[in-house]
Amino acid sequence: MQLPISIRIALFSLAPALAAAAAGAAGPSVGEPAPALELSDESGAVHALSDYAGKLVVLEWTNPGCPFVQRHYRSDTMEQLSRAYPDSELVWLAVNSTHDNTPADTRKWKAEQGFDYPTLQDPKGTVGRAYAARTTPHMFVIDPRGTLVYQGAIDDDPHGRSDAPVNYVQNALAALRQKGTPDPSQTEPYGCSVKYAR
Amino acid sequence: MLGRMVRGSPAARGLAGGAAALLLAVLARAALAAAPGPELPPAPPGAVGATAFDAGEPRVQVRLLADADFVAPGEPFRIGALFQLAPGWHLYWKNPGDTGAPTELAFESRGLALGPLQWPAPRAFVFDGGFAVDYGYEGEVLLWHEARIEPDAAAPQGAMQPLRAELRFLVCRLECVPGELALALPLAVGAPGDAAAPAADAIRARFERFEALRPEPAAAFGASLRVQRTRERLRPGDRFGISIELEGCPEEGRDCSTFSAGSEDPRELFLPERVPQIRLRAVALEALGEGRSGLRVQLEGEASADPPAGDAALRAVLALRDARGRLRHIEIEAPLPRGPRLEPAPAASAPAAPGAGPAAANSSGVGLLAALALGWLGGLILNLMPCVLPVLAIKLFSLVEGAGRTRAEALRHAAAYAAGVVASLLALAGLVLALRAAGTAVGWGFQFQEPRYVAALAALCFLLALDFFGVYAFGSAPAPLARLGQRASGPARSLFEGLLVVVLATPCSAPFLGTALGFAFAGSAAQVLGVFAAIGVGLATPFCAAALLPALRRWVPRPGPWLRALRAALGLCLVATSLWLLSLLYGGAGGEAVAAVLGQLALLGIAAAGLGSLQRARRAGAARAAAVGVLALLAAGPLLLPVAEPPLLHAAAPSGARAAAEAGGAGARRSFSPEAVADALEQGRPAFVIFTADWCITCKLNERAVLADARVADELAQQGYAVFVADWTRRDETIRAELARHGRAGIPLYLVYDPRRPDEPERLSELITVEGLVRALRAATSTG
Repeated sequence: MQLPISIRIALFSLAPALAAAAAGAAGPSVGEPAPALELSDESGAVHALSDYAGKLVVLEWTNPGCPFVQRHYRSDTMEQLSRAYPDSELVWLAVNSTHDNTPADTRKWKAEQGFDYPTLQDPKGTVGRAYAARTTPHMFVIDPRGTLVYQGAIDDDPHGRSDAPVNYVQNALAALRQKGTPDPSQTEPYGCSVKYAR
Repeated sequence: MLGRMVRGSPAARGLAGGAAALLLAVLARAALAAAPGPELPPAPPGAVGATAFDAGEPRVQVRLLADADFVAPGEPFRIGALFQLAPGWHLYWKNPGDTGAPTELAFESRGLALGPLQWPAPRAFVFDGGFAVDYGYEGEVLLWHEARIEPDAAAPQGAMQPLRAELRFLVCRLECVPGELALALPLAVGAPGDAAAPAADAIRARFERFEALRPEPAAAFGASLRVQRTRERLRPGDRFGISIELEGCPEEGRDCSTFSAGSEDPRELFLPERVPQIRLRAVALEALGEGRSGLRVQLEGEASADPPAGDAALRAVLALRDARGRLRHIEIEAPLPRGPRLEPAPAASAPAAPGAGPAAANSSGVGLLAALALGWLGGLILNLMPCVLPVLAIKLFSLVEGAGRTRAEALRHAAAYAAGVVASLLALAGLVLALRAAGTAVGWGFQFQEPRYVAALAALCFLLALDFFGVYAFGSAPAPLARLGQRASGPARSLFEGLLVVVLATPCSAPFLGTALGFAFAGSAAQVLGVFAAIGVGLATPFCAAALLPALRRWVPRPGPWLRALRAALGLCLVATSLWLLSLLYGGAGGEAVAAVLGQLALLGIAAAGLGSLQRARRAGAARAAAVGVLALLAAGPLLLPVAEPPLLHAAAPSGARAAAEAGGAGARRSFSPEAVADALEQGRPAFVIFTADWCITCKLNERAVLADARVADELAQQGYAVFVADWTRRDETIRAELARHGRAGIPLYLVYDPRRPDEPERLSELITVEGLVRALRAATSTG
């Protein structure tokens, strides 16, 4: 039966139309499965998101050349947070989508800063664009089922002048460990733009 | 030469020193942007700073300015910070955009009362091919407050009062450098009633210049503003549209204000402030048309996963060129769709996500409870469909006929019927889950990928119709045809009828149950089973209600001669359903298949007539058994249908696929492959990809109503779109993988590719309209 469009629309309005499931140019939405990724880190080891199913995963878009990232590494924000929970529960992965970053640069930065989580090398920017990572830092928290549960800024203090900034990622991880949901689940990230390859 | 001068007389040394200082000052000045305007007087020490060092050079110089040198308490004046940026570097607006950080300026002084911070209109910096848009300033910008010294300030009158400010900001070119300054500007404060002494002309000129760059209200511009939104309320994850219309000639006879867009790129034209939990994007810009002068900006908004604020307002700046071509800015303020009432956080999260995990995984915004309710409602409505109504009607009549029966029996029948319905739906759900687990991505309607199934259903409907016409009696009970309805021979029969109802309902179910099922397919196994069960309950509800509530039975009219006519009418409904299924078959397998099935239906009719006459003659025995056997064989005939592999776009079939192809324009339609799309994009052509299948009722409806529309065809032809049709009528791994890549398990899906953004196609939802599609097609080719 071919129904005229008015009736068709009336029929569809019986139930709310499915919102477009996939996010548009804005990347994955909170509540959707996190896009798959497979990249090698600065030592050549390959990491895939599916390797860490069953664990909490934090993706940190980073760029040592960005003053915001430098400020956080001076105060060890990411490093302390990555050590907050045991490796069996939490996996912290930094991602560098800067177009001219090399594994050697990352190794040097890692040796200087002394953190122990891998930095995935994404010079082509495919994973960054899949996640629509805009700034460094830009944080994504993924739950053990592979769903994106938080994305946005690391905290609420872009200029670093608060004594006690609210660390959204820390709160998100704490909430997830208690089987809750992060609140807020989405914030506007701040920082330098990711220097993607053209 | 300088060295010899220095060794000379003191005067010469002084001259040389002065020359050197001047040279250095000029060079330093050149390192910063040349100030377009009169030279500022020297700044008091402490009121100016150069910072944001990059490669040893400061990239910004900041200076505190006040437009009065001497003020009386209570008298208004302006105070601000002037940023002078090195060429190529920019500073951020209050909404920095996608990256960066907002500029912060905080005056902190005793007795200083400030108005809100004034921001001149920014410009947009679109980079990375549109991946990110920032808002800010380059060259020089002054941010300021209207200010007053409180009359009862404790400072003694006549003193120089330092007005302190702390600044934090970020300046970027490709790389970014943060800046932080603490400055103080001394201001002489007199006694109340004293006349103020304005600052130097150059300083006041700066204030005037940047005051003029503030956004103006639309009315001051001589234009009328209208903002419309597509939704009134927002739930987490909702999308909505906003249309901003700016009209230059709202009333006849008035002097019209003519203006044009400040940029062809809506992203440079529309500069929004940040709204918590809502992302706004300008997607299209068009002239008002219809003889009206002005323009319209279309925005798309998306609420984040958190409940948006209760009442949010859209505040934005529009960049326009006036009749003289000067760039001017208009400020817009309009209410946005409202989010849920603000509640304490725990309570707010609970209703938004019942069954937190799986429901949160579903981005459609439909909670599990809502999907169950929809499923039940859909099942209820299914009873009215011609597919199901005849069987239901007969069930109801048999119920009424047995009105003398005990309530317990009625209950047994109702229970058996409901069990039959729910069990067969659960079996269907189980089948879907099994297929899903096996890796086959199935959406609703997968069974229609098999033309034999469609043919068999058509035959079944036809058989039932013949029963209703009285040609023979369906079922094994040798009831005389004079009996109306089928005398129930036990709950087993009710069970079977429940199963039959489900089978018959499937062709008619898609339009109603699409959403509930779409939700179910995205969720966990428990959700799928739950929704299917809810549909079953809805489907069984009318009959069960009639069986259990004697009062309702009174509503069913007593059988009478008119019943025969009703049965015939219902039979006609079944024939109509059968014909519709045949039309589906035509699209899926072509004319030859339909001819074959029609032939089989004719044979079926003859066999049924034969069986009927045998039944009427009440002849038991081998002849009857043989007749039944022949009938069954013929009914199974469609299952042996030789179905040829249909070509991807069946030229002979007036199916949706062809309509879609025609919409693409002669020669522009192509069968889909990821490589072909990539090729077209590389050549700079925009692409439009249509995912469809002949069994997908929604797709076909879209194709007939929208894709075949002349406006869509025009737009596709005008913009030189390469149109690709991905036909999923048969299983296709490439198409399935492509759908999965875009986060979909089912169809329809429409993708609009902008060649400048080959990795970010615009995804259109299931229900498309001509206007929406045309807008999306234009947006992909008009944005910069």
